[in-house]
Amino acid sequence: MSADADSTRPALLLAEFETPDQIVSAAERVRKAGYEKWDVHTPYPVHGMDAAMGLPDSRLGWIVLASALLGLLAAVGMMQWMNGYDYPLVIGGKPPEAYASMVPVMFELTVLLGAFGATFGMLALNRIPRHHHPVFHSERFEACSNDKFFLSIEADDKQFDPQATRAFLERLEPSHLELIEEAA
Amino acid sequence: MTSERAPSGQRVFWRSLETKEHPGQPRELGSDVVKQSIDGPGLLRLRRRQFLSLSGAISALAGISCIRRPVEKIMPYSEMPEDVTVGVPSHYASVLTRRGEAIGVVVQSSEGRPTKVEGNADHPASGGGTDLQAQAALLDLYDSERARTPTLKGTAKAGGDLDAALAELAGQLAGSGGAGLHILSEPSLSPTFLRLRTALAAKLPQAVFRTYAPLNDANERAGARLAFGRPLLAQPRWAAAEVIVALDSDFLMTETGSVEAARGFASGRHMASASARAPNRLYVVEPALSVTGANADHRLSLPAQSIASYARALAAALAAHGISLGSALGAALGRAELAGVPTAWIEAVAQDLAAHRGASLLIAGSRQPAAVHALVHALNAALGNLGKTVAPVSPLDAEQPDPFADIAALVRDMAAGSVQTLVILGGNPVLDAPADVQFKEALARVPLSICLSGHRHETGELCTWHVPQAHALESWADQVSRAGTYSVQQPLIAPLFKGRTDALMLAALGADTERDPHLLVKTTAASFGAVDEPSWQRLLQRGVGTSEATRSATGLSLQEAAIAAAIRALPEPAPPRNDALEVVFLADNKLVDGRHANNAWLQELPDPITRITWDNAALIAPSTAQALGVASGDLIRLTLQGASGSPQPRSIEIVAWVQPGQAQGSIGLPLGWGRKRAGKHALGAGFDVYPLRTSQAPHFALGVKLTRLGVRYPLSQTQEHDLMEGRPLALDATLESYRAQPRFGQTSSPDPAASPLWKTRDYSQGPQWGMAIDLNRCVGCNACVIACQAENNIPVVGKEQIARGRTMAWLRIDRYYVGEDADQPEVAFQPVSCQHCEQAPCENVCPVNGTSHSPEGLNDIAYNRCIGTRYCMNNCPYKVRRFNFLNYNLDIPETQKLVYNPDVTLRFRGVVEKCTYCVQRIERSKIAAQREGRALKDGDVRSACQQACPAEAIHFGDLLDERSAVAQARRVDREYALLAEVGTHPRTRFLGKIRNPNPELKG
Amino acid sequence: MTADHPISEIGEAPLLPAHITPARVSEQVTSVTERPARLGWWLYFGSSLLLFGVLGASVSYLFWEGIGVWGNNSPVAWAWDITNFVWWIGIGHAGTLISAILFLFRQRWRTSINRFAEAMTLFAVICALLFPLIHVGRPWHIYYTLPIPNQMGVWPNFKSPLLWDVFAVGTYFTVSLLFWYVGLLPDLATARDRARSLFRKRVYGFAALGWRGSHRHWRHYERAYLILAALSTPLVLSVHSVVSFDFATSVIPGWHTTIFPPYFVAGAVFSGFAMVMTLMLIARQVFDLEELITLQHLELMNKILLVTGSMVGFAYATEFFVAMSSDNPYERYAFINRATGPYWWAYCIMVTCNVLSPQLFWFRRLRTSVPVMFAVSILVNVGMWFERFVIIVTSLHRDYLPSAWGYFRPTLVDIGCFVGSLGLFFTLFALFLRWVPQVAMFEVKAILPGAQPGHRPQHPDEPRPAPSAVPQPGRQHPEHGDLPAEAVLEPKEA
Repeated sequence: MSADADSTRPALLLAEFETPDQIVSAAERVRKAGYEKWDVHTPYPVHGMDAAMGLPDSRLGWIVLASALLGLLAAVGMMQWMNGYDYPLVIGGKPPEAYASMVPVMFELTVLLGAFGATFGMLALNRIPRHHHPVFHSERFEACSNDKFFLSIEADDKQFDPQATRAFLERLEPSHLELIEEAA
Repeated sequence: MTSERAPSGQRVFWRSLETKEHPGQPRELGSDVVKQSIDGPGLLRLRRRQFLSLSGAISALAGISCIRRPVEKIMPYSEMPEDVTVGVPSHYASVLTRRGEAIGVVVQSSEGRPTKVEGNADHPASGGGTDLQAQAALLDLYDSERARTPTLKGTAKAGGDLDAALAELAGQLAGSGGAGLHILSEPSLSPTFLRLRTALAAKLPQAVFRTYAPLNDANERAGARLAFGRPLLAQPRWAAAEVIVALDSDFLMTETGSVEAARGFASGRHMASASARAPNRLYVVEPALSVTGANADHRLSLPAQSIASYARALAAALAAHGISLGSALGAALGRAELAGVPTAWIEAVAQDLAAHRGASLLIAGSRQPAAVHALVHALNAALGNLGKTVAPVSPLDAEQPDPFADIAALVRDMAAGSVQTLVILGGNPVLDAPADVQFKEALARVPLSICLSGHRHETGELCTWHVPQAHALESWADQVSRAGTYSVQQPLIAPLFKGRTDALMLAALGADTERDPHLLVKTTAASFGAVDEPSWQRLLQRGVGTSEATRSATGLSLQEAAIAAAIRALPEPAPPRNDALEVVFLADNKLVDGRHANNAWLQELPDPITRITWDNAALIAPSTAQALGVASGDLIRLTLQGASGSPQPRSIEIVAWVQPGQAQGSIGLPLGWGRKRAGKHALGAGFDVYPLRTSQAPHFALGVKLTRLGVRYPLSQTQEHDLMEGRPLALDATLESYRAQPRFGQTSSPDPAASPLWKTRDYSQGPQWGMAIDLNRCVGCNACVIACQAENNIPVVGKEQIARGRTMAWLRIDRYYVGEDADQPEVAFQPVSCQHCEQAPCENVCPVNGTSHSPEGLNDIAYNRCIGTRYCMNNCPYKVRRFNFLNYNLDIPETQKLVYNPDVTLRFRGVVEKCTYCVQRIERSKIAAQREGRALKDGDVRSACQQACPAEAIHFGDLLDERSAVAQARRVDREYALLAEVGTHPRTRFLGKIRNPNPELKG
Repeated sequence: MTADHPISEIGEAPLLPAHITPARVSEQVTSVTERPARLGWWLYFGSSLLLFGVLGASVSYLFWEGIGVWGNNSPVAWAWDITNFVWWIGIGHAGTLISAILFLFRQRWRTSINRFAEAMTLFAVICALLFPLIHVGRPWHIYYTLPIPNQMGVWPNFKSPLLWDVFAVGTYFTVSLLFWYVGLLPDLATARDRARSLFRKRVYGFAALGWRGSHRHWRHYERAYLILAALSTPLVLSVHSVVSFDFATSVIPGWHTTIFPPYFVAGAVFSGFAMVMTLMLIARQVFDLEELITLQHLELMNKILLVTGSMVGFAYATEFFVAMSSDNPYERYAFINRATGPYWWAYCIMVTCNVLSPQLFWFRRLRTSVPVMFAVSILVNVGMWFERFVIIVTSLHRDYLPSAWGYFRPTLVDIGCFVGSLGLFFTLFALFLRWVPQVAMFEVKAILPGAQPGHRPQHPDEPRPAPSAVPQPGRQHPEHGDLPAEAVLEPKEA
């Protein structure tokens, strides 16, 4: 990865750890050190990491609530307009705009749009799909989806200093530490 | 027909007052006022109008081009329209012949092709109703397998060749005085035919004229000759009869004059309310369960041979009640009892008859020997019924000999070689002549034979010449009804296959120089009052002549001695044994004697009693079947031992059918099936039973042996379950229980009357269509079913699809057996079609809004919206919705396509269809009313089933019109809704059936 | 996604043996998609493809000739077509149920099997969707059922249960797909990272959407998964309820029953679990996943089969009781006719397979015997098909008017369409087994012993235990020790 300096610039420092305990404590210390643009990569959600990284609660719930309500309204509007207003027909002697028979569809559309909200809301909040990310430049990072734990501090963090940050990370005793560079 | 009438005089439509000012002006010229009154530049408007008129003319021409109009001038039923308006059918009066009867009809012509047959209300033998065969006549006309050209020894010839041959023949005959010429024709009701026959006989004294039809009135005439010394026909006045005793007489279905009988009988049954006068009481004694038997208040199944004995016993019992038949006759009667028949059946009936002198009626069926008819005449006379409930009339062709003797004589001549030329005008003797006379073998010995018939059938293909016969709807003729009404048969369309009439053949043989059938008839009509052009036109328009051709016989005196002798001569009935069974030859409910065998509508129509389609079957009583170890669907062989004197036993193979109500030891054999040369529909349908029919025993034979063949034969039924399972469906009540509880209908089939959770639809704005079916009037003849099929272009699906349960009939007549005794069932008929529920389950479930309710209360289907989920079929409690499982309109011959009603869409496969209350008729009537600037009135709209019904059992109309027939019918206390408890609020309602049993005979 | 070996705390043996490490999980699961397929798979795939061909032939013929090539008639307008539809839909329930409901109820043993079940759901729903599509008389107009403008200006009828079906099943399929795919993301990333060929890298990489295990992502991811589970749970219960409305809202005796929704759902779970069982036992054999799908998993499944089977049996009894105690002759007849009418044999098969056969699972030895459970799972599949057949056909063939009673006989095309749909199902499944990680690796890893951190921040000087070391007791997190992964989503400790 490391090419000559004029064509590339440092993107982030990637520290590799073996156990969940190490990565949690490492995360806590990075947070305490005041870094902001940093992240932790784990093969599965490691427990207690939110606290360690000091992450706020996810806002996804609100997105889902909104989209689900939208689905409900869409269902009511559609059915009332189609059967009740635009082309009313006498069906089984019932009033065209009968609500009772519309409940199932209301429910289904609520769930459907709710699910859309959850899935695409999650992708949006995570800014994925994103197929190019500096961490992928590391050969070792492939192990992240297997059984290794990584901690990355990005170069454009205002505290980032190639030497100081590297020294700081050394003290966390990663099993491996490397500087990831990206094209300038 | 008022609703379909073309407007009288010039009708100008006006869009604004200005145009109304100048009604005389044709709008094409368009005065400035008119132009201003309508927006848009005048030039453009003119173009549009020109375009419209042009396209109208073009489509009219298109209509003309595909068919050929009659070149003769024929008269419309009511008023002569200026011209044929495309899309507005016109109607013409005509007449159709049945066995021994002529039924006046009104035929609808759409763009020059007949598309529907209705009864002529002015014609006494129709009264506006028709029977099955009249409704199906259209398909006979458009049968693509009718002979298309004359054939000489099987090779097609031009009409000219035939004319030449006939001219040559006529020349020779004129020379020889007709020596060697034998003419075989069917019993005719046509004065023109008879006139020409007499003329020919005069010209050719040597010529021999023979008459034969497998079903005929020989016994009736002979009976009258015994009783009164003259050949007379009994003409009952059904409505006047309060007690009817039918001895082996299926007068409601297969006997002569069934339409008139059904109407009269039904009016005699009618009950407007529980307090109304009692309906008539019908006793039926018969060997096979007939439609008449199904309508009986008391039915006794007896072998055909025992009927005479029953008549004697009954007469004897009547004598005991002071109905004297005179000493000579009385002595011949014997005792008032009959082995195997409960005495009540003799005593109680006699008592009932005696209690209704002058208001009772006995009638004997054409199967029964002359002596029985004579005895019945005597009884009617003794009961004072003559002239009250029955009036003997002298037939048109009084000299007609006994057909069975006649054909035997003919065959003797043929066998002797004395027949040089045999001309067969109609009929099919090779098929239906008695087996023992061996007509077919004798025919081979005739040098020159000419056969006139619609199909090149069993007889036609064996004759030297075969000549295509014109169908009644495409040829001129005249007919006289049994009661003597003269009618002219108008062609609705030029002969499709250059067919000829029997009259024309006689003329060609030298009877007349006239070759124009139209003029031949017109000449005859002159002697029936149509002396001048106006009266001729009136005759054509009304379809009913003024003067009577025959008159009711008067000055009748009973010849007791002759009757007594005949009765003594009656053979003692030998009670049938299982090794010597009786077979009874039945006129088929659908094919009559086989002449309608290639009519797919009739083939697919389930038999009113057995519900079998596409087949006939040997009908066997349950107890007999059990004794013989026969089950429905077994193939059996029936062997007639040398009873007929013939050396070799005759036998047929046929499928057995266990038929409740069949007389024990007696087997019913419907005639006319198993045709080999009638066309693709007839081929392989049913079994030919003529081979068992001999001239000695043409109606019922004894000493028949039954052997099982151990083979099963598949039968297709449209109704496989015969019982109501104790459900309130086809409701009936005895007269007394009805009077005790007039609303028995609604109490047995109650409406939950649970108020729905929603605001129900408001139907207070008219018109609101509804139907009422009076089960007390319905005789179960099934004419309505065929009428529906013809009106609504309902496809035929074939035996295999019926077996799969895919009948397409929009209207069906359910037949249920009531009662415990399988040998003596009571029968309930119930016509069921779409009930047009106000809260229709089918509508709720259609995902695509393919079926919904019209503001007028119709349950509509939008065919082009239907995607065929069939969910509506499932959710219909009445199971009246039909699905096009396959494309049933595939491979329809071009000629048959002419039968389609242009006002009704053909349904593609994958679409659900059902009864529409004949919405096309509703709309047509609304348009007509609108054009005449009036409101719809009751009777404007008549559904096809209603119009066809000879018994007036079906009422249809606007429910909001208090005075409408349907509204009144629905106020009758017997009214109820089928499956009311499902809460569908059907628009079709039923009126419960009333049975009028004799208390003496109960239990 | 859970605290470490909490099972031991609720007094059960750990789900997975101690020697299973994350790497081993990745290896065992992903390698199936990497190494060349075995003969067994080819045989399985080939025969499935053959059956799929039968479907193609049958449906082509059906479209060419019309519904008439089936045995359907009047009164039996619905027969095998809708029977198959309901049967497949029922099977399609186990997947989402296992994924969603067991997830919410924190049944951790689900992690080994939920991917399986979800895939099965998708494929079953695809097969189910096939039948409403082909059973209509004019399939080329099927789009009339969708609320889209058309030349007639008519809209669908939202009063029709069939239209509810369109929405219910459509939604169910979509949501199940999303649920399945979201669950797949991290494992696809694993497959991507293990991939050696560029092609595999590209394909899996594209599918993985660039997942990089970032914890800032895990946070939303877990929330999304939980919400999807929460949405799917009522959904899965609603779908078969809506399907049952097709019958329950009608007027036909034997259909018009209020107990249908719960009864159908129970039946659906029942048949679904049976099908999962069948497939799992096969796959477990073929891909030797005995370590991940342990006997304990299977036993738990069998317990559910026993419960739901008995529920179904109870429903049968209730139906009869209600009909008999009702004063409705039609209703009574409908049920007497079911058991004693022309279709009595179908009823017997139904009761034997659905109610009696699961009773074997009262005995532990039978419950834990693979051959027995395989046989029973097959029987239940058969029995549930017959349940739908009994409900649909025997109710229709004799309803209100005896004059309109009839009998239904299937044709070869009927059989072809059903067998063919099995072909479609197994074909899709074969592809799934071959190309997709069939066990939710990241979920399994998350519940491995030592997968979750201890509470004490490690001091650099302390010797580090080997990652795969079996954790000593007391090495759990005090706050989260007995909490499942979902606890992470609950308010954080102060």
